[in-house]
Parts: sequence; C-alpha cells; structure tokens
Amino acid sequence: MRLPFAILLLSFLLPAILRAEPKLEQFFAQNCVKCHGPKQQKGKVRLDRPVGALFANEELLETIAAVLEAGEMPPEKAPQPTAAARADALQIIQKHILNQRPANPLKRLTRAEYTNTMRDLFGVDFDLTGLLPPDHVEHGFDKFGEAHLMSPHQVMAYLKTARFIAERVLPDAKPKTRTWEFDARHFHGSKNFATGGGGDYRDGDDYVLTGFRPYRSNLHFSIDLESHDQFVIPAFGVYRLEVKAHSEKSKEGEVIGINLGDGRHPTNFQMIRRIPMPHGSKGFTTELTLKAGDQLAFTFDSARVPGRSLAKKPHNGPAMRFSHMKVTGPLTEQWPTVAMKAILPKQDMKPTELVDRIALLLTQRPLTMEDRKAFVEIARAQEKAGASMTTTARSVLIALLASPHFIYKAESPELTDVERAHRLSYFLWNSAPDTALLNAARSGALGKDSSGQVERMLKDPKAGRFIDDFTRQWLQRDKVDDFGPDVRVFKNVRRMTVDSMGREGRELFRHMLEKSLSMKHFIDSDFVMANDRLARFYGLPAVKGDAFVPVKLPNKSERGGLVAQAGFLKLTSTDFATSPIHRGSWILKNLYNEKIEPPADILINEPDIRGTTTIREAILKHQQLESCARCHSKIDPLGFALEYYDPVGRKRNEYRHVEEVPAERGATVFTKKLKFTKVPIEAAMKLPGGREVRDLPTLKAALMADKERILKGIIGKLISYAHGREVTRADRPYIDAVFKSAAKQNGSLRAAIHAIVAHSEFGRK
Amino acid sequence: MGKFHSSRRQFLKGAGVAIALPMLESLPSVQAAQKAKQPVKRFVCLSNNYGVYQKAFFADSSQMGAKYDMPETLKALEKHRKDITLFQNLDHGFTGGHQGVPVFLSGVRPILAHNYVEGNISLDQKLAEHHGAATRFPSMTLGVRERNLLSFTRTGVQVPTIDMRAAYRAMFFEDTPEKKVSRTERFKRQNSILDVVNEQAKSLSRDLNKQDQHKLGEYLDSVRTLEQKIEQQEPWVNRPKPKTNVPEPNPGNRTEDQLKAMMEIIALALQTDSTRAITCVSGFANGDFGLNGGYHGFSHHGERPEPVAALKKIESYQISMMAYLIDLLKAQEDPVNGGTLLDHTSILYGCGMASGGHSTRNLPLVLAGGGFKHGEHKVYPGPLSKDKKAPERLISLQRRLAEGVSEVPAANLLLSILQNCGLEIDRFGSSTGTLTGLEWS
Repeated sequence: MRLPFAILLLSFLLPAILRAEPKLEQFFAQNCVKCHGPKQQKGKVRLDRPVGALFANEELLETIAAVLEAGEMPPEKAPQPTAAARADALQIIQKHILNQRPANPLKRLTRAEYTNTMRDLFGVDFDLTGLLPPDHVEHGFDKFGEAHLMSPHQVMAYLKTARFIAERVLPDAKPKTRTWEFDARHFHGSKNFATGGGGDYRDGDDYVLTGFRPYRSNLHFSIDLESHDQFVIPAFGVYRLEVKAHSEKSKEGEVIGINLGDGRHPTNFQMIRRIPMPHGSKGFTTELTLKAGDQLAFTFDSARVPGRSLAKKPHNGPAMRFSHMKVTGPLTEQWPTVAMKAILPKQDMKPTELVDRIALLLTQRPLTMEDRKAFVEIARAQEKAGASMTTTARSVLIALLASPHFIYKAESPELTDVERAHRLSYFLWNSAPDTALLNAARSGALGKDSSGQVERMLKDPKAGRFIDDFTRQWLQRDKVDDFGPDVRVFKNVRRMTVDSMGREGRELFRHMLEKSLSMKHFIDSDFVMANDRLARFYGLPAVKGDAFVPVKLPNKSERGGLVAQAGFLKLTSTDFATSPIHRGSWILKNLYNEKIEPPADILINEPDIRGTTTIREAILKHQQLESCARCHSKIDPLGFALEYYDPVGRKRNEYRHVEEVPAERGATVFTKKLKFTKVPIEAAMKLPGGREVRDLPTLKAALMADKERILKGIIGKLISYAHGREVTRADRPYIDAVFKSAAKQNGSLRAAIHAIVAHSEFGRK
Repeated sequence: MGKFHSSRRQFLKGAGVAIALPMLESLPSVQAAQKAKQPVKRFVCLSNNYGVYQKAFFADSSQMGAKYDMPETLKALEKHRKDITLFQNLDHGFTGGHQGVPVFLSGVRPILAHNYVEGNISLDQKLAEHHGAATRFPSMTLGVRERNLLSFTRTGVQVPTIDMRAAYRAMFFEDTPEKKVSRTERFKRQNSILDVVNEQAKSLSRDLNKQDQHKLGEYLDSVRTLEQKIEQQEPWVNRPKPKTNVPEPNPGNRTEDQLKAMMEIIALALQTDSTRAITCVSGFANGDFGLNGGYHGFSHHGERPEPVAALKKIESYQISMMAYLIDLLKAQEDPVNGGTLLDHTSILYGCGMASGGHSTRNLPLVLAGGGFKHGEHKVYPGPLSKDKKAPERLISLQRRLAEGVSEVPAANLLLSILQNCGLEIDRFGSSTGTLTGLEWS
C-alpha cells in the first residue's frame, strides 16, 4: 500500500516542484541576492544558484526556511517581500523538505546502553566507565549515529570490555565468600600525607571525619593494625558493606560518600555512591559491584567545611563518626549464576547450539547461516584444543560482544518488529528489550497498539534510567557542578545543596511523568520538587529527608518551572559570574529546540560581567553587528531577564563586584580581604516581537505565551532521544500530531510519550 | 649502513650501556628516516600540576631577546642559556584553574574536544602515533609522586601514569618465556577475533543503505588499523630488550631523589630508543626539602613569605632537574641520527595552569633542545602588558570582546614542536599557526 501511494504522491509533487522552481529563483533574485549573491556572500551564503543545487543542501534549506518564517530575513532595513510572496516561497521549500527523510545514520550502543544491557542480560551491575571511552555528544545527546565515531582505540576497548565481562560472567569456579571486619584501630585518615590532611582523627572507639574535601578528611582502612596498606578487594563480585556510623552536633540528615581510590592520594577519588544518613541513623548497609584491586574510602560529603588541620584548633561543627565496618563478598546468591544458566543451560552443547544461544541472547535475532560460520569456527577450535565448555563459551561470548551485530543497532527503512522493540526499549529503558516486549513485537501486537507495552515499561523501575539519562542530557544536569562556586563569595552554598540542584530537574520530570501532569509545568508551575536541602535553599516550608517531594509554592515565590531552578541558573554561570548569553541560548536550545551554534571561527570567551553596567553595553554591542544580531536579539533578552538570580541561583537585587584587597601581613598571621562594591542591575530588554521582559515573572509569562512552541520543542527533544537523530522541519507533521494528541489530555507528558511511540514515524528508520 | 651500525654500538659502550642489539636495519623507522633524510625527533615534557610562582619564574618583560637576566627560579639553566628559549604571554585562552592542567599539551579542554577533528589529543600522543611501531613503547607517561594528567588519546582517553620502577622494568626486564607466550597468544586471540568481526561487518554491510555502510566502514577501518597496530606490537614481544648496567633505581623516600633518578631513566629511554614521546609530572611529599606542608597548600600562597619560599624551592629544583636532563642529553651521542641527543630532543617545561591562584594566563614555558634556534626571551603581545595605566580587568575584557582573545595561542608552540618533529600538519589543537619568531634549522 505504502509504496504505490508514495509514487502517487511523488508524481503529483514532482511537476509542482519543477513548476515552482522559477518562482523560487525569482523570489531569491528579488529579495536575497543583493547580499547573498555574486557581489556579497554574507554569512557565506549564495542564493544565485539553480534551485536544484540549493535543494541538495538540506542544512541551508532548513536555515532559509527558518529565517523566512521568523521574518528575520530580509533584514528589517531592507525592502520586504509581500506576505503572499514570502508564504509562497516558504511553502515551496517546506514541501520539498517534507519529501526528504531526515538522515538517521547507523547507531552503536552508547556506554550507558551497553552497561544497562549487560546488567539486564547477565545480572552484572557494573560501571564500565573505566573500560569504554565516553560517547561524543552531538546537539545535546550522545545517542546520535552521526556522532558515533569509531576508532581502533574504541575497537580495542570493545575487545577488552568483552573479555572483562566474559571472565566475570562465566567464571571457572565459584568464588569463595569471605568476611572482613574493621574497627577504629584499622581506620586511617588523611593525616601526614602529601596533599594536606589533618581534618580527621581517631577518638576512642570512633574515627571522626570533619570536612568534605577528601584530602582534608577521608577514611580508609587496612587489615593490619596501624599499617597504611589499604584493604584491597581480592576478586570481582558483589560486596556487602555494613557500616556503623553516626553524626554528631548535627540536627539534620547527613550524607556519606563511598569512593574508589587510594586514601593516601585522594585527588584520584572516584565517587561511586552517596548514602543519605537520616537524622539519628546509626549506620547503613549497601551492596557494591567491585573488581579486583579496587580500594574503598569514605568521605563526609555533607560536611559544612572543606576541612582543615585540627592540630591547633579542634573542630566544633557537625562531624561523622565511624566505629565499625563489615565487608562480605564476593556474594553469590545462587550457583550457577543467572548468567551462567542463561548462556550454558547444559554442559554438553554443540558449537552451533552454543553460538545460536549466545547470539540470540545478545542481539535478540538469529544469526544468518553465513554469519554464524565464523563464530562456530571459534567454538570448534576451542573444543579441538580440549578447552572446557565454559572456556569455549567465553571465547564465543567475547567474539560476539565485539562483533558489529551486537555493537551496532542496525535499522531497516521500515523497522522490523524486533527493531521496533529495540527502539522502544532503548528509549524507555535505555537497555535491551525483555521477553515480554519481544513477544509483543513478534506477535505484531506492538505495531498495532503500543499503549499497553509503553504503560508496562513506564511502570517498570527500569524507566528510571530513561528519566535519568534523558534529563541529564537534555537539561545538562551533569554540568551543574562544573564550576564549584567561589567559596569566598558564596559561603553558604554547600556541596550537597549543589548535588540536590543537579537532581531537581530529573525529579520534576519523574513526578510529571508519574502523575501525567501537563508539560507546561516545565515553563511554570505552582510547586517545585525539593528535598530537605533544596527546600531550605529556596526558603520554602521545611521538607524532611533526602528524597524529593512536591512542595507547594507560597504566593510570592518566583520559583517554579525549569528556568527558575537553581540548577539551571548555576550551570549557566561560572564560579563567580552569571552569563546572560549562556542562559538565553540554553532556553532557546533546550526549550524551543532551536539550533543555534556559536560561530565556528570565533573563539568565544565567557564575558566577565563582574561589576560595571558598561558590560551590558559591551554585550549589547554585538546586537548591532548584523552577523551577530540574528541570534543575539533573541538570546540576550531571555538571559538578561534572569540577572536577578546570582551564579548559584539565589535571588539578588544588585551585582556584587568582588575585589581582592592586597593582604595585610602580620608577623605570622595573614588575612585575605575581599571588597564588595554594589552595582545596580539593569535587566529589562525587548524580545524580537517587541514584548518586554525585565525579570523572572515577566520572562515566564513571555515563555507561557509561547507555550505551544516550547511544548513542541520539548516533544522534539524526546523524539530526538528516541530516534537518535536531530529533528528537522520534515518532522513537523510528526511533532504536530504528538502535540495534538497530548493536548487532548491536558498536554500530559505521559500522553506525549505514548503518542510518540504510537505514531507511524516511530516505526521508520 | 655498516658505519652507522658500528657507531651505534660504540656509543652504547661509551655510555656504559651494553646492549644486545636487535638488527638495527630491521627497525622500519630508521630506514624511513634514512630514506627521507629527516632526523628522528623526540619530545620530553616536564610538568607539575600547580603552575609556578610567576614573579620568580618570568624574566623582566622589557628584556626581550638574548640579553635578559635569568629569573630566580630558572638560575640552574644559566649554563644552558644558549640552548633554551623563554616565553611570555602564551596561553590557551581558557579560564578554569585546575582544569587547565590537562589542557597543557593540546590547548583543547576535554569538554570541548568534540569541536576539534582530533579531539583533545595531546602532543606526546600525536607524536606517538607518528612514530607508530618504531619503538617498543609509543609513549611513556611518567609521574613522580603525582598523577600525570597530560596525555590524552584522540578519543579523549587519559593515558594512565606509570612510576619509575614500572618504566625501568618495562624497558629492561626481559619477560619470562611463559609471559612472552601468553602475550603472543593474547595478540593472536585478539587478531582472530578481529578477523571474525571483520568478516561479519562485511556481510552485515550488504543489507545497509549507503550512509550506514559508510558508518560501518569506519568500524571496518578501525578493525584493520587495530590489526596493524597489534601486528606492529607483536614482534617487540620476542625482540630482546636492551640491557643496561645502570641498576634498577631505588625509589627512595624523597621526591628529590626520585625526580633525579627519573631524569636518568628518561635519558636511558632515549638512548636506547625505547620511546620517543615522554611526559613526566613531578609532585611533592610532606617533608621534602625540609618543608612542612602540601604542594597544593603552598601554591595558594597569597604572597605569604613561607609558602612562597617553599614554592621557589620546589620549582627551582624541578628546573635544576631540567638542567640535569639537558646535561645528560648533551653528553650523549644520538644513536639514530648522530649528533647529540639534545639536538633531536625537544624538552618543554611548563604547566597548563599558570599559577596556584588558578590563573591560566601567561603559562610558564621553557623550551630546550630539539634543533630550535635558542637563546632568547620571547615576549608576545599580551593584553595586560600593553596598557599598564588602565584598570587591568576592563582592558582585557573590552579587548577580548572586541577582537576575541588577543593573546597568541600556546598551541602555536605545540604545533611548532610537532612540525619540528617532522609532522606535516598545519593545525594542532587550538593553534592558529606556528609560533612566530621560533625557528629551527
């Protein structure tokens, strides 16, 4: 059905395009060629070419359509085409764009997808960060095929990862579980080491941490009393940690950090887990997957101070006391393990049987006879050499894990049922499909009505990976702490508050998804998601505990919505200064889903806006430069409206210009002094449409007036993530359909996700 | 050829190193170099993670050219004055304090690496790629009481640090026969897997459209290149390692001893042509030089006399070790090119964070050897040096806004070093060209 229809459509359109060409060429000649022609090529664009040649450049075409539609070109000063001529030209271009399928190059598994897939297939919950290189991010997401470059290094990493996994998943013998116990005598701190230290001490039966900086205070432990040879994890596996610890001089919940690394060189610490300790807690139990050679160290992450040497003056604030710890592992719940049973259900498998089984397990599709041959060869060779069944299975597993069948997610022009299940599963679980989903796909049920599976998947805890991974990339949550706040100026902003800021966006998304709330809450809402620390930071009614709950906002509060989140306000600032340009472009890119790239040929330095108001003038200068103005007339007003919020997201009424005053030096005492000068904020500016924004409430009102565009922008982001490609103008019908469908349910985020999966485009490459 | 060969043996004897040499003619790079008549060049970077105390490190900016007073920290280099170049006002144009450290040898911040064709590959790794399998170790990333954060592959992966002992053992300790076998087997195993996946990729490719075939082609190319790399590495397993009568260094307790021993190891690595790209970062442990405290603490000195004195002591020692390395390389004949080792080895001292105050402007940089025309103090235009009367911040800001960064990118120096090493490239990292005024013969 589909093909003849397409041909029919083409046969209608083709003559139309051919006929339209002179019309479009004429339009360009009349309105554009003066600046984009033989004499001048502003923006390196030339439009005095045959339309056919222009049509070949999809990116240019998108830009032309965008500037025509927004009325940005021809520029204000130049003579304008009639509205009808503009609409005609736009229609011709749009028609052409709709006929082209957006490119969607072959994708490979991202590091997160690979890790989750291993977890779901083999039950190995292990962080592969050290083994697989990080993924490149293109247009905000790491899922895009165009950014999935391959290199010998990457292939080597696949080989090594495959070996690592195979050896852990298929061990030769059952590992022996052991237990180690440690008390204060075995505990050591940062004292006497190269990096500073002295912020921790042994006190009777306890070891006490006082500061959050690992090199000032951390706890590691050794088997020998008093020896500094740190305890080393002997073999790969899951370890249970039972720790007795409690806080003192604290009235609230605290946080302990578990780190990998050598406590003597804490600059290399890798934080692997944070344990919230509710007020009054006496300790915690947790399980970690660790590998041979790992060393563990604890930190007091919610400490109020970085820590200092306590040699001269004792510490008086909140501290964390550790008294006892028990380590048990590697734990084996059952033997043979789940993975061993899945891969080797019996000990006398034929090579072909073995290969088919592992291939099906990894890729959910049978190998063709031809592809299978080489893997069977590997198994045969091992068999011949007298290797054990487990060794043989390991070799096959390694080869298959490194093969393109597993690494790449090949998609047909019209997705097959299994491919559709893959797309859905890597969308909502960030992992491989489970049996129920595959069965639904194979029976054809998924293609007919996806809602049942989508509901099931969203209710599964695995959906948390989508929520985390999507919001991390969309909202750039992982960049919140890129710049630690300048502690001299922002004395009260503590590390766990910043950590909570980074989680707020995710928790809002989760709450909206779970409660089927309207996506307009992303723009503004009468509640925020907050935990104890964030509620205090925002000055809201107290919340108990580290978990996020919805908190209704008092009437006068300006918070609510993504642009009022401290996390966003902080990640768009440096350690001491806000950046209106960064904030404005963030809003355009992530809410409107607009494509704005910084000019490639100009090295952009974040302007230093401490102090003087002349900086505003300096920044505004590039609105006068024509090449800059096209984007900056949109960016700057959005960003300047947020100037009443400082680099950590607190309300401010004026800039504080910070200067370091030359130090006064006593005999041994040295005091640093800062001088603060207050400078008034001038935030009001007009958006291109003429609407003035002057502070956060007026900005949110302006964004709300643009609700449809922003919601479509967010839908576009979801589609980008699900398809692993950028959305283009050709996706407009798709986005419009999803928007309409969600609008029927009050713009619900959950409904939007359902509509995306249900749309016919979801089943196409 | 014969003459060449014998002179190499003679040199090694002279250096007190007795070596069971593999047939020199079989080393592909030597042949290539002979053919192209281009000398084989090497690179050593000496660095720390905290920058320097700038007031004692830089020469007076008005004393440009050959006549300059050697700054306090650099005193140990006085005797090598003709073999070194000092620079001022070169930096990578970023801010970000400690985040500048891993940027030093690329000029590209890891988070911005995706904007660059080769990512944030560091100079030493680029050079290592250039020399390929010509040496047993494509590069060495060393650290003395400190993590080496300088080396990045083109895929943005940080090359892990090895300590002196590991470096010595890798260079001179012969593997046991069993280990050699297991290594060879690992190579074989990897190759056989690569063979299989290569075949798979070909058959998979048939079902794909053109664009996807192209993507898969990248995978195929990578597999092939990796196979070649493994092939290149493989013969080294069974090639005898050079022997030396320099005993395995005792790590010793003090950083002073360790760093000195490390310089000897570096010289030994170059003499035996074990590697041609070395980075070495040195740190500090409480108690060194009779000082009490931590390196990081000292670096935030706030002009207090005590930590400033400590910093000067630590940095002067690092510089004196650079001078020692120059001594060692000057005294040795180059086994591959003739001349001295210093003639064909660039030594760069510096750090990507300029000072302990987290400044990344005006990086500390000293270059020695490598056949460059040395002897001068080169001052490049800097925003702060021009308008001394005006408030500093405002000038730098306005100029930056008006014309981008006015400073000369430090990556230009990196490009010059790479070109000097024989790479035919016109861009490296954030460079805009080679460094004007720095020439080589």
